Amino acid sequence: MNDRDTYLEHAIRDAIAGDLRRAPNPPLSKDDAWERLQERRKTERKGPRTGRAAAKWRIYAAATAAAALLVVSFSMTDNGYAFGWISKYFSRVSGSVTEIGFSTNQDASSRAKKLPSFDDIQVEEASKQETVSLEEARKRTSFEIQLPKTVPPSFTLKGVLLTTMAQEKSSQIVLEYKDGDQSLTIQETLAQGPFNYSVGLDNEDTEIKDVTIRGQKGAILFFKDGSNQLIWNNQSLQFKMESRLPESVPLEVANSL
Amino acid sequence: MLMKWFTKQARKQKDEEVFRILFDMFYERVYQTAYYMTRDPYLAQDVVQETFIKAFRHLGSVTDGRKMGAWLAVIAGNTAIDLLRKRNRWNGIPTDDVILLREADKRESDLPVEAEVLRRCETEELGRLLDRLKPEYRQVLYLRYFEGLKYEEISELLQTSVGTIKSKVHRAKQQLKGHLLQDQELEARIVKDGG
Repeated sequence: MNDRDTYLEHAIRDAIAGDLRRAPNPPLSKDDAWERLQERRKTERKGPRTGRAAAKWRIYAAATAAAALLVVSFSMTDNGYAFGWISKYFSRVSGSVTEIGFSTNQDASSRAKKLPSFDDIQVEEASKQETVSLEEARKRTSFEIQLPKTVPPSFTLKGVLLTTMAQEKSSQIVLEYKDGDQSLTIQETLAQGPFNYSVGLDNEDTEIKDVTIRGQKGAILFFKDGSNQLIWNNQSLQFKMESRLPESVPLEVANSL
Repeated sequence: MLMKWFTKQARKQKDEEVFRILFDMFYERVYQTAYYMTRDPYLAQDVVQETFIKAFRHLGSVTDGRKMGAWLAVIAGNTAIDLLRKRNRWNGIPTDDVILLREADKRESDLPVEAEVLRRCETEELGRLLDRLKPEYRQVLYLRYFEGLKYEEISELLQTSVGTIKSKVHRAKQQLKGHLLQDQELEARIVKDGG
């Protein structure tokens, strides 16, 4: 390695370090981020591990944490600032970013509860995805799959993308409709218990429009590549529909679900 | 001896406390890494959540606590790249590989000029230029030069061949050089023209 390379590599390291230091505060404080994480994990819960596997896992996890504690020095200050987002639906503009999101059945007491009890602890297995027939998907899904009564002419259902956890029925599916190169996908996700969903969008490149689907508030996002995404939810499911079809089409499909 | 102590302590630990400790320890670091990759605080926040969800699911696979930071950084980097790919319809970072690589390659043999360019380059300016790299390139530069990992370690963590990692690091550096040369030549032209 010559001096030129060494100089550049040192400069890159210093530049990255400076870059990390200049990162703005996270939108969520550490405590709020932890609560949000816990809520997400609760929605995916499938019961505590028991027996030898749990004991083995706890040993690994604690040993890892202890080892990490020994070798890493960290500032543990809460330098973030929390924002409230407890509503059925929100759309908030902050500078060049709009954040939209949904929450359901928010448990007010959960905010005061910093750590769940030991009995609540569970560890999820990695999920896997596969495309199956509608019949097969119905057998392996933990909720009733909603099919639109109306889809554009010549679009046909090519398959259902199933996301499954080990030995669990799926709580998320994607209906894949095709017409040649054109596609329309509808993602349905079961919202169990307290449920939060949010996404930050760049206002310069995304047009966002509020819509109402069967009495529920939602949003349709228009991206600069010509595609769009319709997001809404009902009492138990969250829907996300993606296509490159004119606005009226996804809205009509959504209203027929 | 130490492992026995860990094991003894581990039996007394509650899983959630372990999670919380790790979360407290690494929250800012994971967020900073996520922000470095995405340049978007809200997207970075989503990356943080996904990173810890994945990490908690697979914590049992980590046997060396000293590599916890790098392991989380890899998860955060991969998660950020996935999210950016999904969203690059409106948030893409345009990079013209061919032009930049040609520019840098053209100057490979012209060492005095490049050395001068590098000498004049401020760290902050280089940081700004990192923004113009593809997220995949930013990730390998971070792991190689900030985390200080060997090519073999990066290859193992990213589950990619060593050759691919070396190639990505090389291309990332070449692109940075290309951006530097472009910017500094532009600056020189502006000064010369009295702009």
